Amino acid sequence: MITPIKWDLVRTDPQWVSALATILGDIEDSAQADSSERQQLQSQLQTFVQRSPERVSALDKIAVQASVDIMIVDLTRRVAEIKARNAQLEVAALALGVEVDAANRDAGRLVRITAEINKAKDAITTVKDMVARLGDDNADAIDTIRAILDGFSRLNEIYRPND
Amino acid sequence: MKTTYRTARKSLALLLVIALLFSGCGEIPDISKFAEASSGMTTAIRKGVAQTDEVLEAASTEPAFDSETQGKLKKQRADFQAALKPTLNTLDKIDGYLDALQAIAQAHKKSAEQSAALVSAVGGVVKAASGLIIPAAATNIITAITTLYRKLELEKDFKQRVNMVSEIMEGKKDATGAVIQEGVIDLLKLNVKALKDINDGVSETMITAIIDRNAVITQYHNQILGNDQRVQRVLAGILEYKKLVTEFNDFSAKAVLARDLDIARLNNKYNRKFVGISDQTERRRLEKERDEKIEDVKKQADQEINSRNAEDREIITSQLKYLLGIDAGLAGLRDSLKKFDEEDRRADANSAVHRQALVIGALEQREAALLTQTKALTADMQRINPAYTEAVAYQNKARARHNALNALLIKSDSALDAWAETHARLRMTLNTKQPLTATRLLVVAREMLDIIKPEKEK
Repeated sequence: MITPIKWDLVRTDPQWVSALATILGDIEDSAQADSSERQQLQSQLQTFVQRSPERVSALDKIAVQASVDIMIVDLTRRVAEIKARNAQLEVAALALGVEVDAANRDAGRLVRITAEINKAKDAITTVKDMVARLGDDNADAIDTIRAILDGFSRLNEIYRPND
Repeated sequence: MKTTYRTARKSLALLLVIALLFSGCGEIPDISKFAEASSGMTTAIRKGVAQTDEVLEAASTEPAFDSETQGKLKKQRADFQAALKPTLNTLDKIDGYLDALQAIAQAHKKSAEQSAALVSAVGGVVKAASGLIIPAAATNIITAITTLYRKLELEKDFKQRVNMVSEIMEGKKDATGAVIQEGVIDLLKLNVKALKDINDGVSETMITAIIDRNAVITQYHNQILGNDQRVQRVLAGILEYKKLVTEFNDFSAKAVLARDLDIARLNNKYNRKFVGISDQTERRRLEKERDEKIEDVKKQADQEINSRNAEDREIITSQLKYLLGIDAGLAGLRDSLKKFDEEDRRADANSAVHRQALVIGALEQREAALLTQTKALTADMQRINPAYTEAVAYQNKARARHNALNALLIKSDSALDAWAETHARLRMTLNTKQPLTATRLLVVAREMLDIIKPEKEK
């Protein structure tokens, strides 16, 4: 719980001392508070430094140091939290990597198959050109073409699961 | 022969449809928008990590911090960099995952196109060789392609892969909904929240320290500004007072002239009437009438003048009271007026004129003094302005960096939610065969990229 300060009413030196004492008291109580409360306290300290007159600059130094202390404690805490999650992230990244590798293998396989199909298509186009030049009664040539086409019907063999 | 050819064409058309179905054209959705948005998101989150590191770097070298604080920040920065490596690695893996899915989708589309082209080429052979016994062989080729795709089990693998990744990204929950294993999205969201907390804590403290370091220059500047504003306010008040007095005098003079003009016109009017009147009784009557009218005009005009003058005097008095209240430098005038008012009750009948002259004299003296003061203040302001501007710009830069990074990290959190939502939709898309949309993620990713865009490009 942060004590509200009526900044417009803080004018005399004892009032400035009292305002800072209030904030420092709240900071002591906030050791286990969430980050939002701690940030509000840092904002209070900033307002203090911004508003206080030069004659109480000694108090400003204390306010800045209090903000620095919060910063270092919270920074250490956040970095530790990130570290604590790293083991889980590393396991997850590893599992993701396995899936990525498998997906890449699938993609590679598809690319290779596409290339083979493409070659087959080119060959058949050549056959088509050849057929166009043949007479209907050219039995030898027909046998040859049929043999070529039979060869293409084994196209499914280009896929081997262990590739 | 013709019948054989027609049959072959019919069966080929049917097989073409079957082949396209089996080759899975459209079964694996277009994920290019998802991949584009995801890449934008990961780029921006990486930038968020880099910018948080930059905040730590700036803080660890900030002159407003003492060397002990700088040292602690340097150590924390090193810890931070090491701690964030797995996060960056995970972001790389997310990119790799989307790239791989995208590669499959593209290769799959290309493969389907090539299969259709192959079937079409076989059709061409049949057409060219009408009368040849080739259709059976063509059928065999198409069957081979469909078998090939069946053996590949690509669609099944794709679905399985997306499901596996969903588990990794979204985590595992038991039947009661309790989390068994945290998902990557949640872990990344927590890390993004930690980055925001770091940015808030470090930036706010850095700004506080900068304000403290610049306190002398900013307070001096503000005091000069305050003094200058006070002087300007008094000068404006004096000008207003002088204007009111001038208006008062102008009105009185003009009103008296107008009144005298009306009287002169009445005199002229009656003088013209007197010409040719020999009857003394009638002339006296007219003279009496004229005198009465002149008296009326005079009385009415004087009433108006006096009423207006009374109001003006009240305003002028009020303005003087205001001036004496806001300017301690006019304390002497206050004393002089007090003394004058005491003496006036005993003696001088034209006191109003004398009193006003006394006030105007004192105000003009004060005005001259204040103008000299304002020149000195302006010179002083110009002298400290470069240092003040530099101090303010430095402080504003720290604030702007804090705000921009905060905006980016808040968007990062939304983007991670949108990523999970889009991936869940991808899973559904694979079952429903609907097109995949990634609009929300695209919008957030673009907003993030806009935040990190260099200033000159905006």
